[in-house]
Amino acid sequence: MMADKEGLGGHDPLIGGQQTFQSLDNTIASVVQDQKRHSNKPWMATTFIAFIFVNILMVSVGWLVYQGIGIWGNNVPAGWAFDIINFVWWIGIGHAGTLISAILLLLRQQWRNSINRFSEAMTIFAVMCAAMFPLFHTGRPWVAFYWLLPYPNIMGVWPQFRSPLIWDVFAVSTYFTVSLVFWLVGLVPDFGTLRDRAEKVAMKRFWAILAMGWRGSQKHWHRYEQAYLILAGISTPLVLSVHSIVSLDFAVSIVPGWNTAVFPPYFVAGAVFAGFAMVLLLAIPIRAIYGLKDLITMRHIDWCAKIMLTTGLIVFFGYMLEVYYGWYSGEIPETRVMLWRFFGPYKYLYWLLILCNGVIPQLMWSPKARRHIPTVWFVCLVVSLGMWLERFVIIPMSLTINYLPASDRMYYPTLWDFGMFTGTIGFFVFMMFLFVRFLPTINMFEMKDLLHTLSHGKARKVAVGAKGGR
Amino acid sequence: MRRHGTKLHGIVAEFDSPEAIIAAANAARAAGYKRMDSYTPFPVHGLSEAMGFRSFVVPFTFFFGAVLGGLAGLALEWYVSVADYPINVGGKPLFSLGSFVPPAYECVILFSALIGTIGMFAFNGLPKPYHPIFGAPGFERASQDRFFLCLEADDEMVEEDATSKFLQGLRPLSISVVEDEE
Amino acid sequence: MSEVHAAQAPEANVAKLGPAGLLIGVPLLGVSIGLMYLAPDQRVEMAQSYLFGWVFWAALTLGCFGLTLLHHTVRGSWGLSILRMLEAGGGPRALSLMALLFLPVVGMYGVLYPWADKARVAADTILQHKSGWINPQMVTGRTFVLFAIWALAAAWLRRSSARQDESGDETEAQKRTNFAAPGIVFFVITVTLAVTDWVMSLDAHWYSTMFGPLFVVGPALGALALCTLIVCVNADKSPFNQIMSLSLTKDLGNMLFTLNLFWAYFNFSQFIIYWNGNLPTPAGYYFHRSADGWNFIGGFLIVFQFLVPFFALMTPRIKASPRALAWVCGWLILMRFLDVYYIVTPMYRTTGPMVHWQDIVALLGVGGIWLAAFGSQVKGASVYPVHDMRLMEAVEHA
Repeated sequence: MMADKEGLGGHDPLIGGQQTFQSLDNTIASVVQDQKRHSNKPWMATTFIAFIFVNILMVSVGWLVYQGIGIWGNNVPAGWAFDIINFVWWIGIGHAGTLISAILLLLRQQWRNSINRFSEAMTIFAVMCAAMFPLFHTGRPWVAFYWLLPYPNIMGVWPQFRSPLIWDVFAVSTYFTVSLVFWLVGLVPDFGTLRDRAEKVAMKRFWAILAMGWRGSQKHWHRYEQAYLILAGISTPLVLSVHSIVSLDFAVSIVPGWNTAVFPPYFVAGAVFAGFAMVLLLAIPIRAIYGLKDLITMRHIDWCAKIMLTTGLIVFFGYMLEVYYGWYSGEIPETRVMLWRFFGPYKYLYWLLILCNGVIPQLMWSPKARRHIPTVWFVCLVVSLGMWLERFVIIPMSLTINYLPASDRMYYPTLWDFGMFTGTIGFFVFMMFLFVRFLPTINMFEMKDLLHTLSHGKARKVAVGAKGGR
Repeated sequence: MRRHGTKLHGIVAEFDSPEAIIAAANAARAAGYKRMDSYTPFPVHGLSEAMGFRSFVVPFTFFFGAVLGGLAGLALEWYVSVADYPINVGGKPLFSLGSFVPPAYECVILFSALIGTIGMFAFNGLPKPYHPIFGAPGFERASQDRFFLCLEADDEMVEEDATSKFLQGLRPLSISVVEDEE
Repeated sequence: MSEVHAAQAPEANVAKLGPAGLLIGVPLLGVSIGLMYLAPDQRVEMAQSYLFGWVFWAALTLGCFGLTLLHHTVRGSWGLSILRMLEAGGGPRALSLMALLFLPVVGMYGVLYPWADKARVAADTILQHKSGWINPQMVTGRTFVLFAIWALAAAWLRRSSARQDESGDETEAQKRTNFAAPGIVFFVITVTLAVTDWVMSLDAHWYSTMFGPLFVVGPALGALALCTLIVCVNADKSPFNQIMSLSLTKDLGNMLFTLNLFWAYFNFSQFIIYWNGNLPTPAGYYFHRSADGWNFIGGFLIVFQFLVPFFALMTPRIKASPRALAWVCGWLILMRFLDVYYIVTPMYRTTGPMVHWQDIVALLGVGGIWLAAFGSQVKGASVYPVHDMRLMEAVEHA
């Protein structure tokens, strides 16, 4: 039951080992149903450390709400800093999740099947982390809704639809909702499987409620597949639109370094870049801890690394465009920003960014490096850092130098900035590890479908299909 | 004989592979059975055709949602920015179509996804906690590794003995009679 | 594969485009160059029109070349059926031809480009700022060096592919991939530099970081439309009838759909950013183009370059029929003319009647010669890569 028997280019199989429908269910569902498997040290230790950071997050937010956003380092002219950097960073990480499940489903790339659930969960938690920042940046989120959401209120005012910030509210809330729907729709048949496998009555009831009476009727599958494919179809342009709109938050304003036409695609590429890095950063340890090496194979890692390389190159091309046209424009404010980045007081961060996003990812050109797990993991870590730095370079570094030299002022983050940022990382890891423990990490019905396709003489077809897409 | 207060739901045959159930569905259709359903752990490609089942209602629901979303989004923006709360921002026209595209676009996707997904479950008749097929012996494996074909009783061709005999000819793993509350 | 059918079908003759092109191209190109250099009262008008015609076909050539690189990098089965056409359109002959046809532009720098006008440069600090990089010698040098590199790369890829046709050696394909993947990086960067020189610098001050990407995606769309058109028109002729399948037209249709979507996305991004920012220099681009009748062309493009093909290519029935797909492709090519026209011409023409007869003459003149190069290069090799293993798989895949 192995794919690629003829070994096209010596590829690793999509599903390793001798598998049956039953053995796939056992491998995946037992992670959820046999809770003893989680009393291992790595799970406990990671979840515990993450929980400490969740507490740091709660303290940071509590103090922020009590004291006001003055506890953060941002102040005019750098009105946006850590909050927006982290917002963009998290949203970007979320995008890989949707891309893996949606675009790859559309392109019939079957290697997605084993990582899509995982990356969709990542999307949802990442968007939660992202949304916290602008929400708390309003200072008092509970009174901010009248300008965030269009509802008739007692003051008779409405949101301003010509402002990209409102586009952003629409984009992010739509993105969260649709991602959640997509994720839940994918989970329903698996809830059915868990219900049927559960031994304790209470657990059976629990899964039965979530499965909504799913009985695997082919008539249901028929409509289900249509809906799933269309959801994927509309999620793909959704991803593009969300990060494009995030980039418009900056680009439609006239801050030098922001009013740049290439921002939307360049942001989208950056999001995918960071997102795939995060997928690998998490998937590599989890596949080792839970023995999922037959399902998340070297081939998946190889593909993710290639996508990282491609999107990384697009991002680097974006940097080149900014520099070239910054110079080409001949406009003094634009040139000043470029020089400020190269030689200003934040220059180390800029050059570190070039190292992280421009130089180190080039390791992924080498097939050997793509198959060396520690190297891949290291590159992913570097890329995650690099993409955070990119947003630092774009946001506070552009704001601290402006049209009038009189309004130039440095920006320094405070401890609370770091508290909330590291707190969200803790929150994210905490949620991911809870997810791994309590929900099926890999889509069971799609894996069975894949196994069936692979084992019935269509292996070649799959190999062609996998190469055929982009 | 049937217990009091129950009626026949259908005759169910259990198979162990997608190929077997497609062959069975084809055979049942060729024999003249029209009302049938199959229960499988994953969507089996070609089975809908074998059962003679077609449905395009879901794509239309999504499309309806998309159109509604787009119109609703633009109408909201027009009402808010032009009719009810017109203010001059940066000298831009009150109805700035370019700026109105992104939110309207998000509304297209949001409405389409929600209406389409809810529609999909509604057309499937879910959530539905009870269904007679759950009474079939060994049915818990329908979500794992077994494939069930049910010839349903509201097809007038279905008749307990003859149908069971017919299904026996398809070499299933097992055959059972499924009953429903009256 | 239906071999019986294949034997009976008439043979497609793509190469016949060559002589036809020559027949139109030679006289019209002669008229264009003649007017430019011998008729002083026609000079400015003709030079501008010639530049438009040249930019369109040069961009299309680069679009073909870019798609060739993309195909060799990802090795999708959709590309195999059109690979020979892409190689011809973006091949060494077409690339050298476009370099040659740039020579008349070199002679007309003075009437076309603000940076070639000494008096203007002396009065303009921004032009002075750029003059070390954007000046007649540098632009000419860059153009010819880049064309030389592109042509050499195209020749190498084509030879490797032909070698594989003869020997069936699978390692050649891997060699091409190793070459084409970094090649795309180089290609995108150099195309950006080149179109900045050729087109963006027609305006003394305007700049946009989106310009390069637009000139990568738009011409790629045009190139794909042209090749798909040829495949679809010859769908029932040999040898295309052997590879024609539902999945092939669907793949090509989806690829066209994607590129069209990217075209719209890039354009909308640039528009909404500059329109909202409303700074004089960047927004000036749209200031011209939203008045004096240009706005009609812009609106027309939104509807007919984007929306109509968008819905057409979304329809499964159109993607299943080579005939219908051919119509969409033909339409897309027409819209490509209009789009390049909308980008290039308002750079120097702000008022007056929009489409001049010189525009048509130059477009057809350069185009005719381009088709001749295309046709002659198609003739030299089998119409699709016969010995590529994956073509068989692509057919099986159907």
